[in-house]
Amino acid sequence: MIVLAHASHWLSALIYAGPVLIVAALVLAAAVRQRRGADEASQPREERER
Amino acid sequence: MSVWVWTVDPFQLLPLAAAAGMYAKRAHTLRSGARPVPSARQAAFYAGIALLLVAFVTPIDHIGEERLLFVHMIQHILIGDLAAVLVVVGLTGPVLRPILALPWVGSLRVLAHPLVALPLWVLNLYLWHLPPLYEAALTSDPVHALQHVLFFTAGALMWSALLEPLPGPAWFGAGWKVLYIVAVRLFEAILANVFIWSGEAFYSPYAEAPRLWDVGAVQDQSIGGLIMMIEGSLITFGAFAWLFLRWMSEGEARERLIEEGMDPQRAARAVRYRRGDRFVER
Repeated sequence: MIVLAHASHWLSALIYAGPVLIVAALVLAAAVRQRRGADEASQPREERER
Repeated sequence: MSVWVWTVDPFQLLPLAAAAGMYAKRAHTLRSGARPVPSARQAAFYAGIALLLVAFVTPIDHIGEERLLFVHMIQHILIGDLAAVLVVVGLTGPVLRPILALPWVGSLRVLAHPLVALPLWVLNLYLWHLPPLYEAALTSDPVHALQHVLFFTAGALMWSALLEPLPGPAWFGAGWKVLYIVAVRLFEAILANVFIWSGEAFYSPYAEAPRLWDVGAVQDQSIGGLIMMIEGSLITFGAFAWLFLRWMSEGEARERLIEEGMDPQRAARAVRYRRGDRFVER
């Protein structure tokens, strides 16, 4: 017998999904930071100093 | 009503799928670099996710929650011990590096320090088995979700301190790791024995639940303790075997580095943080 459990309680759903959502947000922040770093590194030196 | 109920809750399954997806993407990114994630480690990570699926979807979830404590114990062992250790085995420094490079996230590494992770794990394990909290988890979905998430998190931190996907403190060598494993199993064995030898059922929802397979409430609790004890013994054996193999290979690597002319202290440090091979290659 398969029971398709509805989202039992919004708070339970948030507790189960919360840690993964936090990791996903961190991954996104890390990607943005990495890209920004790469952009800055690719700019000519004089432009960066300005 | 049959007890063989399979539970499909999207809010339990989607986070697992998302975690597996993020890991797969990171492993794919690293595959052509200097430090790809070894296939065995990737397999361990996915096996950990699969065990979480087993814990949440199979009838273990329904029977454990509604009828038998020992089945609930199996579910908690899957979540807090076996899945946690497998997921940690799958994590490596390069996998975690982008996140840990974020300024305020790196400081969370303190949670995987052995002197922090072990007390947190013990506290979490014992508190959740106190009747008021355990019964609250049985009667309230959010509390039950919190229990599962904390079992997994505390288990993963406890195993991270031992397996060190990220460099641990320098003093935490093989000798201290042996003591750490002994301490973990000692605390678990004490709790397991309380369950095995107690003459009364601790949790009223199980005492009042309709009997299944002719298992009485006290007997159910004893079996739960026994399962905790047996699983603990097996995983302790595995942890000691791993530690012994690592200790042997570290000894060999250290000798090799010293023979190549490296200062003994530096060689010990290089091997301790598993950088020995890279030094030898140079």
